[in-house]
Amino acid sequence: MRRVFVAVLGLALAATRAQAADIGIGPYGGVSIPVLNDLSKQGTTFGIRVPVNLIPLLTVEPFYAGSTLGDAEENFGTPITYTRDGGKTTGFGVSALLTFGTGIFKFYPLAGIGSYKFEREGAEDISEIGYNLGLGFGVSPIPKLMVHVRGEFNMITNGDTAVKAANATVGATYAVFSLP
Amino acid sequence: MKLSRLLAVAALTIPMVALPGCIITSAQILTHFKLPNPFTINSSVPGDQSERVPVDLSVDPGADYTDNKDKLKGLSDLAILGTFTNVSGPAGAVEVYIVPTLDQPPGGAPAIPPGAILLWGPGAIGAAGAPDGVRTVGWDESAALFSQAGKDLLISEVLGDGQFTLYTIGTAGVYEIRVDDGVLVLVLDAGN
Repeated sequence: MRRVFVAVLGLALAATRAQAADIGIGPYGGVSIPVLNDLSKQGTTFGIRVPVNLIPLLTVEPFYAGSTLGDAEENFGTPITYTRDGGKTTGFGVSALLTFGTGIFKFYPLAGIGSYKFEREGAEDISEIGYNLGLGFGVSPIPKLMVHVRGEFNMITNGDTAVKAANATVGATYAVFSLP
Repeated sequence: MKLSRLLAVAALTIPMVALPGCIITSAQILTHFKLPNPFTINSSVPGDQSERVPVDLSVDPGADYTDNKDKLKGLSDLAILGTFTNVSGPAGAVEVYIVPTLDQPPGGAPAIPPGAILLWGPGAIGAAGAPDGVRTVGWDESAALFSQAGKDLLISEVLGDGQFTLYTIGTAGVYEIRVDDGVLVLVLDAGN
């Protein structure tokens, strides 16, 4: 996990030259929809992103992410409806954004890696590497502020399988300072 | 600038390329096996102290299991659900044991066989006539009652021939417990 993390960060940093870097911070939130998972339903996701815009093309973005999936309900053909905890995920990691566009409008594919923990009542916790891949669109209505809309596919590995979710989020980041 | 673009693209794609395909296409599939409805275990009736439930997953649940069997990687969640009624006797608990063989016939059995492994329990039940003498076990609660050794054997059987036998028994010295609408719930991990 650490080697992959360092490799991704290293490649991202190697892509830069000694140019100015903008550093921002901001929250996001949205919906999380489990993919190919009968045991969880649609829930919510939230987190904090710290985008570091190294060059116009590339942004490296450490993040903290959390999500709470909806409970599954099933009666198994009996008169009783049972409810299973949908589970919750917390994690941190880093994404790399390939940014295109002007200062006001930006479009970016992104990919990331992180360390995640998946918890479900009555089951053992899963602490594993997770990956995210997605597309985002940003609008800057005023200087330093960027509003983001993203769609991401997130998966936490678990042996030969993975817990997967599609996330649609809205967030905002504010450029707190720039390095010369 | 060309080099920096190349490195940036590499940074974006390396994590995804490194993933095996089965992880991306894997799924958690909910299925279940219905226990006899109802069944009763009675410590004072010879030959009915436990309930023998032979399980052949290729028959029930059938297609959900057989259609995905070659893709199975394991079980991500388990539960035994149902309404447990203490008909007569003191407070106690119910336990479910597992053996890897398809024992016959289904129905009452004098005791659990030697070598059976605890799969689930103890699921507590109050004394007959007490408010908690009738209990519907919740899904979350039930999932937490599986023993690791029993779970390992169940996973082995699910990935193997899909045949095993469950034995349900009471823990109190004297018991008569009826189980209504019992279900064994399995969440299969499958991937290509």
